[in-house]
Amino acid sequence: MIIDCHVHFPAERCVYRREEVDRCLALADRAGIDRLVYLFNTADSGGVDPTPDDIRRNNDLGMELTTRHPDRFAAFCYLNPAHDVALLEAEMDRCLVAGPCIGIKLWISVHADDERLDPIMRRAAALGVPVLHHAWYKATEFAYNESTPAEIATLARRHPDVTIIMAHLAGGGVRGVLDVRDCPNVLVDTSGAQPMAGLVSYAVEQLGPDRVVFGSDWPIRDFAVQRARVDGADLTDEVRAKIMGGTMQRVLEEARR
Amino acid sequence: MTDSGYVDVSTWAGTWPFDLNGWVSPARLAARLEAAGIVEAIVSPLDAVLAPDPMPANRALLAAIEEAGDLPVRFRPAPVINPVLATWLEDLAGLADRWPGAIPAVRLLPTWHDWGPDTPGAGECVEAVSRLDMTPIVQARMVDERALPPGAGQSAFDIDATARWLATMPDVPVVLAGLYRNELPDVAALENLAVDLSFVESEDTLATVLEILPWQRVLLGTHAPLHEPLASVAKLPEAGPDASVARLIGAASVGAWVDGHRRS
Repeated sequence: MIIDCHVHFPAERCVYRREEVDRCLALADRAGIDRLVYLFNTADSGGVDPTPDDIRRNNDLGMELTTRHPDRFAAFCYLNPAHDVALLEAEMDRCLVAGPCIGIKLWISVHADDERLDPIMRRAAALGVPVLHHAWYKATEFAYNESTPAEIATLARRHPDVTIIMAHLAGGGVRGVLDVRDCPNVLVDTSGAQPMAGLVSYAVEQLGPDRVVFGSDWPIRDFAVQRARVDGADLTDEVRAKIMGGTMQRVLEEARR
Repeated sequence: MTDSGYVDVSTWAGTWPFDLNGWVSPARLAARLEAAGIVEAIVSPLDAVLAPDPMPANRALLAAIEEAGDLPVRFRPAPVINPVLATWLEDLAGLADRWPGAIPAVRLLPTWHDWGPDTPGAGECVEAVSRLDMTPIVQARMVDERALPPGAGQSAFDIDATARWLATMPDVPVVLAGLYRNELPDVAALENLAVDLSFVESEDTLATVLEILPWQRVLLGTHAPLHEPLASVAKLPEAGPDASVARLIGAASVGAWVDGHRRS
């Protein structure tokens, strides 16, 4: 079972369209990817600081994808930590308690070490669901309130009971891997930037084989190319199987309990 | 691919101090490329990118290829020339004299060598490479700019200026390596220009590239060993509507563009 833990969607106005889903799944099939974890819709995300309506629209699409295609899609609940706690709680109730979402997605609305994340993280701990958080180190300008891996490490130490998936191995690079090495509740996804040779196996050396998971960042990136950066890495078959789905399957099964 | 595998226009040997590879010999590079199905590759010396004078690294690479003997990948050298150096023409002529017919291409690095279209000698250098029966490969970038090493302090690649510049020499066939997908439309009208796939990626990479450029102007480039070569090969799907064109690109584009324009 190959699971891609980092998938967006290109649906205009967040409307479910069967032909777009079929195209997405055909490309995933061509790359041999079985399950896709939807995070939010890149074509209508609401930008860097989405409104409550933007958030609900993005989550509606995720829940529709996972309801219509439960064998192919899982959905994480997208949140903007800058919103009122009551709104955040209501959206988590709607998506994670009443709805089919099995994780939380945070992007760049608020830095990861901001205390406004605490209510979300406490709820994630109570529900036993993972939080996938964007992170990057950039030589160029950071986008809005984009987090660094060091900020993810701060968040992880404050909430050691929550499994955090730090996105974009190639964005954080070696420095990012070392930032979270001593945070056992942080996994790193392989998505982001160019397929820098040696980085996946370096992450496994530093973090162990159970803390690196496959993510593509489709449709910004190409399923097949992103898969090949793991297929081409110097790893044993056993470790590669964990990265490509074994570890994520365990995380998602724990979230469903 | 050829009858037996892919042909790659963008590979490197030597040392790149900002990655995890260490020193990469031709034999080590060949092993990486062979695992991705590549049987022939144009290779440039990494050490020439940062060296004040690229010629020692060029000569070392040519010697290393000769000394390596039979490898599973046929390497064809593309030395690096720096047109801001007063000796660039002498360097170029010396390479052509010393290895006649053995050098199919020359790689030029405007960002890392801090020159642009307006730099004296830049246009003359591109034209001189072509006159000597070699293909100029203009390397847009070595790394994703977001991951530049701290303190590198180089200027960003300017696709608009580069496209205008290359349009002034329509009879010179050039390879532009390392473009992003969103830069391809800027060069679509330049029929003297081919691009490699090393930094291009989108939701369905090859399909989106072919909406902009004909397959004959699309070359497989892996940027190995800096990039994982299998990832670039994965841009050429073995199934689906573009599979037959992907086979042509993998097998024939590099040879047709680089060798097809040679007079000898």
